[in-house]
Amino acid sequence: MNVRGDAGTPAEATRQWRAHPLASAPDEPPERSSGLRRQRWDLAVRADLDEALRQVRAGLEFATFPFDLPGAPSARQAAARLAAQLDDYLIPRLRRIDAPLLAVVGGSTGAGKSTLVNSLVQAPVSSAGVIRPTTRGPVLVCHPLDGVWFNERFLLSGLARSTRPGEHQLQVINAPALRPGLALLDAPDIDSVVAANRALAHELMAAADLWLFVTTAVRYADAVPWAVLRDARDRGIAVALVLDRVPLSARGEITADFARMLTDQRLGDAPLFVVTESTLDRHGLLDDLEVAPIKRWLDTVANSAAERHGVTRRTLLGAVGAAGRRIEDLAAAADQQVQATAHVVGAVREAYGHAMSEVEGRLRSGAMLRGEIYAQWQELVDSGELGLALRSLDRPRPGQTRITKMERPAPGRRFLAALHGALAALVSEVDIAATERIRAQWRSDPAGRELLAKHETLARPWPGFVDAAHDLVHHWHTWLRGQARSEAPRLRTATRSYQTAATVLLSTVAAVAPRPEEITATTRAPQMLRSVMENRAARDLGERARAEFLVRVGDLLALEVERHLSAISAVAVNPALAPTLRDGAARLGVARSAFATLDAA
Amino acid sequence: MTGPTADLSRRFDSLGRFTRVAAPHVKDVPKLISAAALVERARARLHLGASDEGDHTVVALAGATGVGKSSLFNALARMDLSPSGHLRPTTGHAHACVWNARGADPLLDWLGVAPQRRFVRESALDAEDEAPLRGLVLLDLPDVDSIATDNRIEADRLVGIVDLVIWVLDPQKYADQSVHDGYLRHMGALCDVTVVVFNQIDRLTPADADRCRADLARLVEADGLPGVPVIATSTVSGAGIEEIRVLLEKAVSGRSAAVARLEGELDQAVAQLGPLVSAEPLNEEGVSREAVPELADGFAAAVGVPGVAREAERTYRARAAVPGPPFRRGSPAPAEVAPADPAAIGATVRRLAARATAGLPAPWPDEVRAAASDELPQLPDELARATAAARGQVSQHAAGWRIARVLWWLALAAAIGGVAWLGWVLVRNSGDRVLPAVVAGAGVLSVVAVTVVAAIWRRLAARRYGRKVEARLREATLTVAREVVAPVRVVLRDYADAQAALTDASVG
Repeated sequence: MNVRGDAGTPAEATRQWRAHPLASAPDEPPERSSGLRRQRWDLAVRADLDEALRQVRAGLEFATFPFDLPGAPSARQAAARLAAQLDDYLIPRLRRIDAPLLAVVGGSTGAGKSTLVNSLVQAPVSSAGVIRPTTRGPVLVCHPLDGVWFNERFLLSGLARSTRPGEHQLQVINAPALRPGLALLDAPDIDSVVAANRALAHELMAAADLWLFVTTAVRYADAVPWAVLRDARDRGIAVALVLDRVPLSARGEITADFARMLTDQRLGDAPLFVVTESTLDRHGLLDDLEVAPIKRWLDTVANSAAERHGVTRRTLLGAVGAAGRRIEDLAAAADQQVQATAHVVGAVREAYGHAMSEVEGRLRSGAMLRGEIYAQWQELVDSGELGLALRSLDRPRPGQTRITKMERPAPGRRFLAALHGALAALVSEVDIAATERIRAQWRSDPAGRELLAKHETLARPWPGFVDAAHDLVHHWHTWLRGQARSEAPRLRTATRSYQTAATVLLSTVAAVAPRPEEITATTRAPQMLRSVMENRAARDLGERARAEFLVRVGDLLALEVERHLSAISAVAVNPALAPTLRDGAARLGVARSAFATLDAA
Repeated sequence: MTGPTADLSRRFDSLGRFTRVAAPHVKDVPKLISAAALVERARARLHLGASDEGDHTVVALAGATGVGKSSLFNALARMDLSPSGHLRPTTGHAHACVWNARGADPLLDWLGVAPQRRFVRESALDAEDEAPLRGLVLLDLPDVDSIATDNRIEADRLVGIVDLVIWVLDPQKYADQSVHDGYLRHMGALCDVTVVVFNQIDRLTPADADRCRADLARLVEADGLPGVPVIATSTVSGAGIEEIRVLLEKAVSGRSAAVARLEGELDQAVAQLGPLVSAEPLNEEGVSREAVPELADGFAAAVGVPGVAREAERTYRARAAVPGPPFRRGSPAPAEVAPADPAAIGATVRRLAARATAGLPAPWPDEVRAAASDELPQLPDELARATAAARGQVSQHAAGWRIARVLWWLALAAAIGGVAWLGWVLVRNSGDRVLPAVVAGAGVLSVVAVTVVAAIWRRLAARRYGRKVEARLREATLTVAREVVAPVRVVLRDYADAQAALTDASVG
């Protein structure tokens, strides 16, 4: 078979073909005028499909599925398999659609795959044996004329080529007994305990134009091979079946049973060959008569260009279609990743949003003036310090430099110290509550559990937070004092400093007090609170002080949010993955339909 | 019930207690569910083996389709009982062969073997040939790897409950993933009651058979089953069949397979559940003894009990002032307790949970935390209510001070009256001057005395009153603290129970 460019091809078309990466010449020269148009069309369609496949491949480069969600391990595996299939088979096969066929001999361990391959090529090319699994490194057998194709890695480019057997490298052997145009690949098993074998077998079968699926009289009802066969059926791959090791006595019975099962599974039209159990000859080969039908069938496929085209196109179409479905599954898995991320991020934002509104609510409702603080407040009222401070604000005494003995100490020092402590405690408290909320939410979510397991410090308060909260209150107080001072003329006298201190005290009180209309109690301490709130200067500064405090708390909590979010973003879920994949799948679908019509033509 | 059986059933009872106690706390843990199922099954099995008659040993032949389970079954029974054939899969239901059928029916019912698939071996015709296997129930299981899923489900069920499993493999399938990864790898606990048979060696040359058997032994060891016998057999040549029979005879005569299997599973279950409790003993009493006062202190601070006490002291002093109007009208001092501080309460409860859960493995800390913070939203109000009620209960004994005030006014009246009288006597310049002088002096002295005594007394009484208020309030917070700690104690007690039960279950 001539696989190089044909002399009969029109010069123009030849130039076009050679210029294009898909360059490869058809066997029969088409009719001149319509043939040329068809070639151009053919070329365009294949270029389209090629581009779509490469777009998908590029998208798969970033398909990581980092969160261990229920579907993630299988999605990761599926993505890796699809990428391997694109690299090993789909892209190269589309570019060299007329290269020799690759028939992969696959099946269970101990089914006799290697013996069958050896018998088909009439040489001990692949070692057969009793120790399972026997074949660990794949062996490719082809006609010497085809060797150039397979040695230059046009398919299965990821596997190293070798002339000696070895694990995870492809041994290429020339066998003159085979017809050119079709190569046999003896794959490892699909069901032994050696996981590497199973993975390699799937990789090889994904790169096959044709499957020669071997099972035995003992195995033909095994679940694992049937799962593989159903997959092949759904992907539209050309399959031929070999029922091996059939005892002569029950040959008819078993064959009929197997054929019935094949029909049940909608695989009835696949060619079925039966090999009876027999002793091997001294070279370890099956009797010629046993394998003759298989050999004849393989030769028929190899000899006819039309047959080979048909097989390749059918498998390509099936594989591209299956790839489209797999991409949709992968996109769904990618969506799940994005949703999981949104969920854990949402838990963080919600928890800290709640924390923020909690702080604001406590300040606005006057909940700070409770417990010990309230007792201090009462003392402040009873001692008369507060009344003095209020009066000094109402009637400023600009000229007077003397102050009374009562006024000398900074007013409400103990009250303020207690209130500051309570404010810092409040901030720490809402942080702890927020981390607990996050923890509870995350524990009910696989992505959250993964984050918790990975980071000990997440969903727990940051160790330095309590100090940070105290610093926050301290700095806020300093800011407030600065504000209070700037309200008054810049002249430092005892009176002024008393007035500043009084302003700070009253505006601090105003910042944490409820609105005056909410103060309903008629005893003295609440009444005094109301009079503080009715003082405009105190209330206005208090309002600003509260806003400033909330801003500062917001900044501090934002650090906590950031601490959690950076851990989440370190997981690196790619939000663009699903759209990219879907886009690629849509393009692939369009290109595939065009390719299918080409096939029909 | 004999010694080891009694001990085993005690240990299973303990495991059952563990699952019951832990179930409400350890949510959705499959380990717990399977442990509970194991307890059920063990009870049933031990009960069936309790009588001497029913003391059978159940051995199952398990494996992939086409490896010759049924042929081996027939060879062991020395009779053609189970159909073997060329078409796959063959056996869809388990077949049983019983040596000495007396008392075996309940066991076979429990195993779920249909009566039409039960065969009785060892009749009078056999003389004493089959006597060593008396008490054996041999099962031929459906395959574990064919497309007939029902077969697999049935085989899985029986593999899970029989006493001894013989895994049958053959030259084609001995390295199949379905048997090794699907079954043998998870049988580590059943090491003592697992046998692997390498069947159909007649298909290989003797040298190949030896190599394959060695390779299989290597795989079995890699599956985590060291020391499990790997017997090469052939139903065609009869090789190895006698070896299996000897093994079965040993299992039957020892009557130990059932116990060994259950023991293996029990040990595995205990090991799997182990991480749910720690080895260190829990000082539950200590936790609650220290926790309640600490919690109460925290609550007291959150309510501001010291402040309330100071305030009460101040009010007392204000109301006990002498002089003052002798009969003051109006309500007694307002029993005012400020609403409690929720942030401080939350922090206190959280501290308690942290202290109580120190050293506990998951999920217990979360359980304790949940139990402790169950009431958290209501706590501020509850505390405020309790403390306000306590504050209201402390009366001020205003009557005594009323009397003091009356006395003071009387003394003042006496002093003024005495002075007026003395003045009148002096103006009149007649009459006794001594008596009015004495009255005036006594009056003045009384005023001073009452004032001084009342002042001292007021100070002391106010302090005592403040202390009393504080004590009452602290009592109230203590009551609330006890309420909060109670559910925590329940969880901790459950934990201690679970710990003890698992320790019981693990001691052989």
